[in-house]
Amino acid sequence: MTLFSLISLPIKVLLRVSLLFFVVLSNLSYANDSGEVLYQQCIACHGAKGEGVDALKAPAIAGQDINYLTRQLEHFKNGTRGKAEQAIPMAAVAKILTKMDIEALATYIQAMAIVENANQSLIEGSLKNGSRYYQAKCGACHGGQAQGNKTFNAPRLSNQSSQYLLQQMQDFVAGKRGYEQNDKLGRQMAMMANTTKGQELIDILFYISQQSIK
Amino acid sequence: MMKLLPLILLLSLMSFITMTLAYGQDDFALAEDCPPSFEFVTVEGKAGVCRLVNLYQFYDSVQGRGLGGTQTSLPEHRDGFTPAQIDLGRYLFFDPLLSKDGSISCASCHQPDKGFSDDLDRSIGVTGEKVGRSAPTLWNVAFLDKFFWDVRAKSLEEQAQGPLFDPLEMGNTPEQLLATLRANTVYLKMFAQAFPDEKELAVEQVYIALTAFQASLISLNSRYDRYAHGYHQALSENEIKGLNIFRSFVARCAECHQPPLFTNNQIAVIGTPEPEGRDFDIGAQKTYAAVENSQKLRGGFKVPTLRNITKTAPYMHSGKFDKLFDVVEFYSKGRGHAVPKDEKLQLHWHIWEPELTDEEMQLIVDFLGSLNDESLTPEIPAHLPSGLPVVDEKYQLRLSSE
Amino acid sequence: MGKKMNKIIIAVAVVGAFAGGLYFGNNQNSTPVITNSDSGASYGGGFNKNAQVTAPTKKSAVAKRTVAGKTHVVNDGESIMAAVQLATPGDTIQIMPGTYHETVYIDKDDIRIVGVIKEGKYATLDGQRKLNDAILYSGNNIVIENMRITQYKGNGIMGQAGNNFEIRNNIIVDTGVYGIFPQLGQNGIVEYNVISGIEDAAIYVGMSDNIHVAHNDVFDSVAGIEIENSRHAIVENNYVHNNTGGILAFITPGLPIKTTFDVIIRNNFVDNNNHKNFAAPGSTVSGIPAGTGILIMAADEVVVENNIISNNKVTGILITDHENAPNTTIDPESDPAPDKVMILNNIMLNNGYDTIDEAKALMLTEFKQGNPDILRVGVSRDSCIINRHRYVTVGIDNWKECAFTNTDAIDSYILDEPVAPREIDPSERGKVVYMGICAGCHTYTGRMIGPPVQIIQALYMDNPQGIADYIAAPTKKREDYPEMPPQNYLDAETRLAAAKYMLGRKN
Repeated sequence: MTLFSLISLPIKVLLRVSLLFFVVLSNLSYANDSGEVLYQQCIACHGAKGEGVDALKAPAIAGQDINYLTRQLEHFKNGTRGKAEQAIPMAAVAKILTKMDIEALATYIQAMAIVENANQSLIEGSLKNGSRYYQAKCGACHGGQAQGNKTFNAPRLSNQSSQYLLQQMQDFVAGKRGYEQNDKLGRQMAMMANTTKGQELIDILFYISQQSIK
Repeated sequence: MMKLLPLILLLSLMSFITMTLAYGQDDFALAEDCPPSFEFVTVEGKAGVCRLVNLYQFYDSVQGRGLGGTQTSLPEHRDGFTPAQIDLGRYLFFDPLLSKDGSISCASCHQPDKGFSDDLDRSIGVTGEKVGRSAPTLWNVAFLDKFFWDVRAKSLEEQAQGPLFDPLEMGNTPEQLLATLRANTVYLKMFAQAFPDEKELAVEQVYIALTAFQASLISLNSRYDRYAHGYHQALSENEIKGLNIFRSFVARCAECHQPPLFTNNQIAVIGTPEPEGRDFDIGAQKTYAAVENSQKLRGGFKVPTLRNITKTAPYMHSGKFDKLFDVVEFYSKGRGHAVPKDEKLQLHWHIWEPELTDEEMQLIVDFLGSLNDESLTPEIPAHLPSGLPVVDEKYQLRLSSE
Repeated sequence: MGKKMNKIIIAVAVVGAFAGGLYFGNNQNSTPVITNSDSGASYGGGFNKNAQVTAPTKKSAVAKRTVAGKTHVVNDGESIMAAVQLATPGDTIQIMPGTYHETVYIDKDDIRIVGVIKEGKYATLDGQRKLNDAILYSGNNIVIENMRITQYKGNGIMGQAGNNFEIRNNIIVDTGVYGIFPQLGQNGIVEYNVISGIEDAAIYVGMSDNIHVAHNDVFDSVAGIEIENSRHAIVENNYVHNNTGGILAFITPGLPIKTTFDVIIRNNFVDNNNHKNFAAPGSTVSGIPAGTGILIMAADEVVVENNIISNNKVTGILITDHENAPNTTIDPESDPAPDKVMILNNIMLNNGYDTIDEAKALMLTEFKQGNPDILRVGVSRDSCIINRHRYVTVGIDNWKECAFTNTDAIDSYILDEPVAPREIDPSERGKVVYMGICAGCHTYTGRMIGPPVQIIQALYMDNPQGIADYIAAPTKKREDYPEMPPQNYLDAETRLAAAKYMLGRKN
């Protein structure tokens, strides 16, 4: 099954497919819970190299910070994240992961080589304005080149799908992410997400898309 | 994929529209907020104004004069302008429209990256000739009550008219300045916003706006200030040594360059030499010509602030010294050593023979570096109501050649 | 009976003032007005303390300590400065006998430097002609006592804008420009010091308010005690001898604080101030003629009372304006005339026996003979004197009789409550620190030197204490931002107030 053919499948089918994957793979995982094996269930949406698939609203995850990955998987698992419609499949997947699985998966994904995301520059904006807005609102936590900053638990944004980032910003604003009282980091981001919109946001996303992979 | 296309198209279109609007009139909207370190205060029945808020305001000083040691209050100062007035002043300050031929602005000689001074011994005006004296820094002018090296102006409003209408400086006339501004629709709108109670644009409003802007140039957050407020690690060991020599009664620098402003804002006759070929500059004697015994102020100049001093070389009223070390050395070379033989000056009593060592002089220079704080440098406008280049062509040229 | 009696005497004195003025102007040999200063009205002074007159017997300038601080003992061979650096407000630094070669600077409040004298052996600060100043302070509530200071090039003890100071029992010998020089301070006591061999003033109070200089022994210096551009000062019970000039009350033109007034010079011995002037060329005191007992230049409301002024060869009291003083600049912002000088009873003995030519010339114009006790040159308005017949005077014949005879009602100008600490009003703290410090590096939305406030608000949304803790000891968190300088000079409460203010900002 190629990625291209996946794109044409409706979401519900995909959900079933991924669940199927999960059943098969989770059986395997009991025998051998290596991250590599666990990752097989992620490929359908996030791609074999963790490059992300826009059509499935699946972000690029290869090389993302381990703590961020762990935290998000846990949040999907315990319902702290996953209110948004497009996050439901992910929440379903995460529900069945054990703590050890999450740890192994996050370790594996963090170690994956970053692959250039073909979908990252689908949004066009002003680089100059974007740079200014980005530095004013995002860079202090996500790094000047959107490379992320562990100190603030801020994930890398560069090489991420603009479409995905836009969706997340909308989710934050709509209370579909960063809504739980105990999700302080999420609430922080929700607060910041509320400070930008419209063209300013587009410019910011464009700036992020122009940053180098690393 | 098909689902996404309309969205992408829409987004692209939005960004295109924004790009084309970038240089529209809206870009010249005057600020509604006060500059950093200023609090927006609403006075009953009046437009809100900006008031400076600073830690030093919680200290005291003898007779409220704002002079003394580490934790000393500041002298009285100018503030209370509206955000719009301050911001209008900023545009005017950087706009070459204010000069006779549109060739230079205030910022040509008071460049933000050079301590609001320039790097010339004597500044160059519209004629291309050098003017009489060196451009002084504008940092902390809000606290001064005497302006120009020879203290001939008593307010910033009065001072502004000096360079604007001096034929060697900006060379303009009040009539021409007024006519040019009234002919500019953007400025008309801006002045109306900054001076809502005035019927029409008047030249006095230019002085007020320039004053408002300059009074926002506050530099009181240097490493020295952190030391003064009590954080003694803010200065290096050498800088503290330098501070102690600076305020010692051997070097006596602090007797006139008194903290917290590092000036006592008085006149001092120190006998500084003129550059080769320059006539002796009588300074404040001219200003006080009508006063009895004004010859006692012959060669007297205003004590300048030392804040951001490393940015404003060359030094002294006619730029005689290129390096701070040379300035310090001047004071150590002996009372009156540089006074021309035919001049009889009433030199300041603190000019004496301190006999500082080279090491001590270097330590003073090291300390002076800790007085730098440009954190409140205002933003240089990207473009100006006149459409002229910021700050001026010569300035741009100099920047690009650096 | 006291009250009634006083009134009558005042009435007599007032009549005398007019009669006497006319009298002396015209005829030297008429009956003098004799005023008894044991009774009579007291000078009211120019400083209203708004407090009852019952003053405590012993005045203190420094604020009372409510909590006992630490005592740091410095032994011979150790560094006093190291102890000062360790000290926090409220601490005392005890210096054991020995010799210390260092400059001690105190940029902290409420520190006491106390020398320990053991069987006559002092803790000695010795500058060895290499060091500039012995002790510099800028803090409030500083006490310096029992030290011996010698061989510095600048000053012995110099205050720069420290309020509520007490400098006492120090011996300062052969040390530079000024022995003790509190400058730009309010509320201070300088007493029981022995100072000699100073090339300007042994005790120099500059641009200060509410000062008490008493019981000092100052000699062999260019000037003994100088009160310059200061107000509400009392100089009393000092022994001032063998200087070029004894006690000075000045307005020096060209300084940023322009006035001297309300100075009481009383009960001093001012003897034999005939020392050769060895001041630095160009200094204001280099113009003082050797042999001047008390010199009043341009200062207003100076009372001279009950001093024993003897053996000063130029004159006992010299009163001058700027115009007639050498080595002064002009200052359009300060009044050059010594107005409202008040000379009450003084013992004058053998002054003016080798006076200056100007004095002799002036005496000729008044057809006077003898050695001048009091000499006035230049303008002086509204000045007064009592018992003028006792002295040989020049230039004061038209002075009025004073309406009072003594200064008994004024015990001290030291404040009943010390100058308040330099504390930021608690309700304003957060705002002031935010505006004055934080705003230099953080704007609400834009990137400046530090990250935008809006982002800080997100990061610390429910946690102002987190900010307060972080800014005390910041760590580098962002590659592309400079590390924040620590703000631990602000106390925990102030930091928290600033943090709360920052989190509440809307723009």
